[in-house]
Amino acid sequence: MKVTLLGTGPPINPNRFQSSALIEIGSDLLLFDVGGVLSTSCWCREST
Amino acid sequence: MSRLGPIFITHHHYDHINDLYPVILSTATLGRVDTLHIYGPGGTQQIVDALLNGVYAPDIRFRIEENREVLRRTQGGHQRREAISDVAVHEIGSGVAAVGGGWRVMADYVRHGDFPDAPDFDWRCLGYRIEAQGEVITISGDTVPCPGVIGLARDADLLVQCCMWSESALTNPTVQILTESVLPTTTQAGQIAAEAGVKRLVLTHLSASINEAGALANVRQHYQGKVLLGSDLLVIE
Repeated sequence: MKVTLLGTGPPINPNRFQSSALIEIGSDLLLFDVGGVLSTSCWCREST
Repeated sequence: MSRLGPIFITHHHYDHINDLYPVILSTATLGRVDTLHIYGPGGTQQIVDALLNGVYAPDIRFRIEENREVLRRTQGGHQRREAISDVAVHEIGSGVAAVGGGWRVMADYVRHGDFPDAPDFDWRCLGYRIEAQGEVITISGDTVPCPGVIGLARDADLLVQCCMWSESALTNPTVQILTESVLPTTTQAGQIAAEAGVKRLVLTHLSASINEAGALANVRQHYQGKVLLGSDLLVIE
């Protein structure tokens, strides 16, 4: 399994996205919580 | 991103569901063809219904009509915008939450707020244990030390544990009260990791006041295993 921490901040922390973690198991992508700016971080992740 | 899902919600604080609609929308507009499954505590269905049938109903209708207009003018193929609303919500509690190809997700209730004077307030929070490929990863959700998170993290290879404050913040009386039943300190995160016997601990949900050296020192009061201070886009294999 591969874990990507998409967001590691609480409600208010300008230096961190809000809570979210992606777990990859084979071709399955399990997402745990969907804190703010998650979409952006997914895009960042795919483009890096 | 179109392959993203299922989604597991730990609880309904806004900083854990802010991007629920953007993810539902983005997966669909980027080509999702399958139903998006969303798991969460009681009340999750109401939130998804409010997003899809209330708050963002005009946004969804706009995209469907826009798509029809493009199709009418081009007679060409286009993405299936109706997939936006192709969502299945599963309200879950303690036990097996979901099973997929070679993986299983278990859920249990964790402690993130006690309201003895508000018996009508049905507030439930979950943590998750993911079992696959001979490994175990635990997502604590927001919780102070409690039997739920200890059980979910028992002997896990990795615990992704929320914590909000360093030990030094306990000089603030409000923080002291909140660490009893809402969110833990880095020291309490170490307690959870030690009691559960996890192999590796990653700290998340971190306030701006937490620094790496202090956090590690706090954790080490109880836990001697591998510790990482989480950061956005950190990959752990």
